[in-house]
This record gives sequence, structure tokens and C-alpha cells, in this order.
Amino acid sequence: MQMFMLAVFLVLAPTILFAQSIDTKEFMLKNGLKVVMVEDHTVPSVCFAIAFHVGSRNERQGITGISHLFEHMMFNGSKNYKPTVFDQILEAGGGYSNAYTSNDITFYYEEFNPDLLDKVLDMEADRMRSLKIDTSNLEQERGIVKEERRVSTDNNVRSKMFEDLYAASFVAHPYHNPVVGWMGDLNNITLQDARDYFKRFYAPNNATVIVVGDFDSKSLRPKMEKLFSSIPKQASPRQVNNAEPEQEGERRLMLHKAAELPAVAIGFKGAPVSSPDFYALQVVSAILSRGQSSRLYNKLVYEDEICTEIGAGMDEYIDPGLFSIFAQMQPGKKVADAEEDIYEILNEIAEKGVTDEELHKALNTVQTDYVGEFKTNVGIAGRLGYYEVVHGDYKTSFKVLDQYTKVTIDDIKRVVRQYLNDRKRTVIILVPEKSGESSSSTN
Amino acid sequence: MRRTFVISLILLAAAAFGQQIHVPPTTRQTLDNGLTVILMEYRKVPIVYFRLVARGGSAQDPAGVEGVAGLTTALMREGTTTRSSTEISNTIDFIGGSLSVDAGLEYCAANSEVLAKDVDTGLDLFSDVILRPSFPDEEIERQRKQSLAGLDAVKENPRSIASITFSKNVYGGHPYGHQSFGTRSSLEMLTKRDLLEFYRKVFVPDNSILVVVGDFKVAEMHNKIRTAFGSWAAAGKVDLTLPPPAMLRGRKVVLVDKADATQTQIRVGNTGVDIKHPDYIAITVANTIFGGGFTSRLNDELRVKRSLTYGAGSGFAANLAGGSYSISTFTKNETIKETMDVILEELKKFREKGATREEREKAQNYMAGNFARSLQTPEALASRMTDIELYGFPKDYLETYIKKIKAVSLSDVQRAARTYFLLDDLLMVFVAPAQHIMPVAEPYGPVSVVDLKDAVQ
Repeated sequence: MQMFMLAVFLVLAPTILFAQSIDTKEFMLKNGLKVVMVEDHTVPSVCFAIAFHVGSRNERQGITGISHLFEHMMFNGSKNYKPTVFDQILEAGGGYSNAYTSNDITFYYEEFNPDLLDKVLDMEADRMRSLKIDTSNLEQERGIVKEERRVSTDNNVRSKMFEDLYAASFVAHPYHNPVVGWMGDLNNITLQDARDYFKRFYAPNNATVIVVGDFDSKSLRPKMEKLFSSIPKQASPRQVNNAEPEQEGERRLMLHKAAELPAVAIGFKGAPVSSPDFYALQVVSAILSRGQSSRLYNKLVYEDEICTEIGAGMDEYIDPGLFSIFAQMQPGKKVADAEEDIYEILNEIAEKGVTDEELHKALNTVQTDYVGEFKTNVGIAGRLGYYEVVHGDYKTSFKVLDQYTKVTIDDIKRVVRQYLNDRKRTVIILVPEKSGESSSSTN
Repeated sequence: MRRTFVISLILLAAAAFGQQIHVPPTTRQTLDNGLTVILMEYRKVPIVYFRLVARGGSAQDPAGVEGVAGLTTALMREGTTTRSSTEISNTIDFIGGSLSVDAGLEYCAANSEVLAKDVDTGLDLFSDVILRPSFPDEEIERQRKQSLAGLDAVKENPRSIASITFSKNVYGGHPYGHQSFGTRSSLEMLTKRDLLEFYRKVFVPDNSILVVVGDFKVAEMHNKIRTAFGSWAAAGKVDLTLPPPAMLRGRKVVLVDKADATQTQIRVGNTGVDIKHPDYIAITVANTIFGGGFTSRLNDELRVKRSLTYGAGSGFAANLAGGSYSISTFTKNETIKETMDVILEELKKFREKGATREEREKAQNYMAGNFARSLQTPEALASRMTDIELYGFPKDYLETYIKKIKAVSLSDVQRAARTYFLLDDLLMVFVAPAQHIMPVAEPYGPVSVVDLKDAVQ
């Protein structure tokens, strides 16, 4: 069965793009829970997802990491389902569950065989209505999350560099904090914190349900109404205030860690997703680092052979995130040389812009990425959920290619000048030490 | 992120539920030069996916010169007789596509994905890197330098160190223990002649399988393929025969000293079975129960019940002549003993008491669901189809896989548990501060301590 139509056509200039549409249906329950549906019968499987409008962006100092810790607690039982039953039922029904937390969103999803849908709806409604939050499951997940932090950050040099990069770049905005939380705060989160958090952020009016796959969209509505509509709505969470002051000069920090190769992470304050500049910066990141022909790769990895790898990316966040560049050096090469090359390339773009070919190439890349997200049910659910929460409306995801085609070479020059300049820059330099010379304590 | 699993890809070639799997029809042809060509029209997204697999990989690297397959494939897209490395990159990047050539243990694979509208450009480039790589000297030197730096970079990653150390030690001197990315000494001495020799032996049509999946018309694609690959000269099949790797007897501990680690990476296991072993399906079901899904025994005992880790799992990696079985997890240095005690106790329990009927059914359903979902993407379909050809699985493998999973009985599971989940013969790898861990490690068996700088040579 063909799932969605992508009519390919040629636009005379500036580039080739798709007209894209995906058949979605939606409704809203009276308690504010929004439901988006995409029927697709390609494989006998359903993806049920819930996107909550909450992430580490909504946290305060002292209990950082609570969004992610809480994500773990959602799997530990509710009024009618004992702990571990949720996953047992899913796996026995040919499925699995997973979730992720980021700065702006917390996203839960499960995929399962179609005949399990009613059971999943019942379990999901039960945990939204009456999640079990007690000392034993808080302590259990606290221990697991601390191991997660150890494996993903404390014993991972690159993640540690990025943790430092955000902590140094943002002084007032919660993007300062790592999503996983500071180790000291993980120890500090209380049962009451967790209960307050659930009530405030996991209310139906703070969530969007997305269902994709082999199910009947007509019969879903009455089922959802029956199970979810009596879950009480709560006062809307307080808006996050972006008090981040203008950065007025470079911030430069050293990280001493056991490592083999020097590396550098550079972050510039960028644009939020609501700004057209966000798309221009995305195009810049593709021109800088997508593929071996990109500017940074070609110069630093291929021609000059001073780096083993290099990458650039623009955060897709509600508030202005970072445009970051990461470079790992070849043995014996100096970070300063990579920095010099990177800044020279940025200056050149700011002054002379990019070629038409580079712009077209970036747009073609964006298209392939776009198509790629429609390959699987979970890919579609993930995309719609992210756009609903972070961009404010899942439908904007269908218009995103139009945003990219609007980007001109003048825009590119302007955003590089405006955002990617030395005044707005934070630099983390990894100074490798032999294992054993440095020791980090994280308990 | 809630969970990570360290499960071998081959294990994930798991199966489905009660419902029938409908795989889009394929056509299979052999060109005059012996190239097997399989085409599948699949129009879910406007993409065409090309995958060519050539038999022979890093297990065929001559002793002492590991990395030949790896370096050869890395260079194939870095210059052909008609295009420079830069031209290749520009062309594929411009159409927003992907193009890669990689070496596995027993085969090399070229993969390319392009939008359907760019299919001709994509095929032109894809066939060029397969048929006419020129291995320019300056590109060899550049890649050599990159690969050498890669050996350094990998030492920063405790998980990679643990896996590499496990693989090297579990296979002993067997070619399955080869480091596909080479060693410092082999990378320094490899020459263009070595690469050409490997390329000419392996990348020949009668030793290769080409699969194309996606948005195209079969008849048209056949013509395009014939035009692109028809003149490729046959040169015979590569002999992949190897003796099976020897099982490790007794217990042995390898401790890689990473003094700054606050968490210990753990790998426990032994050799396993070959991919066509009659018990392989039963083993995958048993393994799903023991260390496959989130509700597996290992994850339940180590993570859910005791908060000792963020994730624990096990897997059987299987190749033509044999494979390995490994348990993977990690825990803070203070709780390594507790973690190891649980692992060994669970192994013992599984061997002695086996699984319950409910566990078996849950595992079968879980595998069936995963299998059905895995057939959604062109790349997954292409990969399954090359596996079928490469390993000589039956042609209805995809359609009957779920049935085979479902046919595994409880006594099959019990037998697999007793036979293949070894307890007294085990290799244990720890990546941890040696000083700290030594007293904990010693009771498990003779310990060899490896300095971090020697862990990846």
C-alpha cells in the first residue's frame, strides 16, 4: 500500500523539491488531549506515541535531570498495572517500548502487533491517570540513571566536552544544564519533586498522542474518548522565560581528560526554530559539513589532513540553541590550526557567500533527510511529535521544505556574520592526558 | 534515552507473530558474467537503494596484514579511472545521496541510496566505484593516516575497547578475530599491490550479489543493470572455507587497564555457532529470553531489580564457520562483583532450569514483531536479501522465518540453554582501573592485564 504521495517535480529555480503531503487526521478530547492519526497498512504493526511538552528546558537548578529521570519512572506501574507488566505485555504482543527526553520534549512510543491496540490504550490511559510514584521506584531509577550518566557522559570524552560547551555558553537559560542532569542533582531529587512534576507536566492538556500504522482511525476516537477524556486537565505549566543575556565576547575553556587525540568544540548562539534564520543556519551547517565535499571536511580532513573528523550542526530548539562545530585532531596536530581554518572558512562565507551549487546541494540533502523520516511508522510518529512540541504544530513539518527554498545566498552571508562570529562564540578545548593522570569523581 | 542494547545485528534478524508477512515480489537473474541480480519494486518512499555484496572480507586478510579488506574498501570511493575522489564526493553529495563501501568479516558491501529521480546518476557512480577503482597513491597515504589515527581514537571509547578485546581473545588466532580496520604494523606496511590483489580477487561478478530495492520499474532497471555491469569480467568464486574457531576451555580474565574509568565495561562469553547451525533458531529464541529484549532475564535482574546498570544483554554473532556468544553490560567500579555474581547465577539458573512456556511465547512474539517491522525500509530489505544469497538460506526465508521461530519448542530452548550458554568455560573482559578491579577479578580465573596502549594495536 502506498503510504503517502510524494510528487516529484522540477522547479525552474532555485532547486528541485517535493510537494509533500501525508494524510493525517486529528481530534481533541475535552480535557485538551490532542490526537493525531496516520493510517498505513504497509506492515502489520502500530506505533502509539505520546509527546509531552516538557524537557530539561522546564527544569530549575537543584533538580536538573528530573525530566529524564521521570521518563524512566513512567514504566514502573500504575493503578491497574503492576511494575514491569507494561513491557511484559508489549513484548508478548510482538512489541517494545522506548522513550527519549531532550531539552524541549519528552517522547514515549511503543510499537506492537495491531491486535494489542486496545490493551495499549488502556495501559497508556492508566499511567496518565494514575502513575505509581513511590520511593522504591524512584530509588531504582535514580540508580539506573546514574549509570546512564556514567556511560554516556562521565566516561565519554566527547559528551563531556559538549556538556561543558552548553554549560559555558548558557548562563541564564536552562539549556545550560545537561538533559541527564548533574550528578549532584540526581541525588537531590525527592519523591515530592517527582509527584509535582507528574501533576504539572503530564496532564492531558500538555500532551499530544500520535498513532501511526495498521489500525482503523475511525474506531480510535470513541476508544480514546472512553479511556482518556475523564483524566483531569491541569493548569497550563508556566512559560519558560528566556533570560539569556547577549554574549559579548568569546568564552574559552580547557577540559583535561584521559584521551588520545586533541579535539575542539565550538558553539555559537543560534536562532530558534520559529525564526527563518534557523533554516538559513541549517543550510550553512550542511554546506560546512555534510559529505566529503563539504567545506570543513574538504579543507581540514581531506586537503590539509589535520583532523580525523569534523562536524557542524544547528540545534532545533524552541529557544535559541547552539550552532556547534566539533573537530578531532590527527595525532600531533594542534587545535589552534583547526580553529584558524574554521574561522577563515566562516569569514569567507560571511564575505563572499557560497556558490549556487553549494546551496542546491544543501537543499538536496535536506530533501533526502526529509524523505528518510517517512520510511517507518516510528519515524513518522517521531517527526510529527517533534514538530508539534518544538515547532508548535505538527503540520509545519509538511511545509519545512518551503522554508528551506526561501533561503538565499544573501541570507547565508548575513546569518554567518550575525550568529557565527567571535563575540558569540564559546570554545572547549580537550587537553588529552594519559589515563591515570587525571581522575574524575562523579559519585 | 531509556535503554541501550548491545545485541549483535545478526541476532536482530529475529522473527514475528501470527500474521502473515507480505514481502513485495522479487525477480532474480544471473547475468552472463555470473552476477546475481535481485530486484524488488518497493514504493513506500521515492528512493532507490543499491547494495552489492562481494564474498570475502577481513577474515580473508592474510595473517600479519590485517586490514587489507578494510583499507581496500575504504579506498574504492576515493578515485576511479574516470573520477577523482573529489568528483565522486561532489556528485553523490550534490544529489543528497549516500555511497559507501565497507568490509565485513566475510563479505564486502557497497551501499548507495538516492532519490528515485537521481537513479541514473546514482547507478553510474555506484557501478564506477565497484568496477573501476584506481587506488591513487595519494589517497592510499591519506587513508592510511586516517586509519592510524582511528586506532588512537578508538582507545577513548571503553565500549569499543571491550568489544575489540573480547573478539580478539575469544577467537584466539582464528581469522574471525581480525581487526577489520587493521593494526598499526599492518597499516604501515600495506601497499597498493595488496589492495589491488584483494580487489581483483573479491570484486568479481560471479562472486557478487547485487540487490536493488525501491521506486523503479523492474524491466527498466534490468536494462540499466545489464548496461552498467554486463561487461564486468568473471574470475571465479572466493573460497571462504575456514576451520571453526576453537572453544575456549576453562575461565580466563582479560583486564584492560583504564585508570580513569569510573565505570567498568564487562563482556563475558565464548565461541558460539555458525549461522547455518541446525540449533541457530532455537538459540536465538533462548537468547531473547536470556538477554534479548527489555524484559529479558539479564536486563530484569541487573537493571530493573538491582539498578546495577543502564543496560544488559546477550547475543550470538554467527558467521559461516562459527561465531561467538557474548554478554555485555557495564556498572560502576564499586559494583562489579555484584554484577558478575548475578550474571553467573543467571547463567547457572538458565542452564539448569531453562525457561518457562510463557517466557518462550513472549520471546517468540517479540522476535516476530521485530522481524515484521524490520522489513519497512529499503535498506533492511536489501540487506536481508543479500544475506539469503550469501548464506544460502532458502528462497522463502523471509516468508517462513516467523513460522520457524514459532516452531521452537520449550525443550528446544532448554537444550539450547544447556548446550550453548556456557558457564565453566568463559572469557571475561573488563575495561577498568586495574588496581581497583584486580582483587575482584582474580577469583574468576587467571587474569592477564593489558595496558590501554596495547589494547588496540
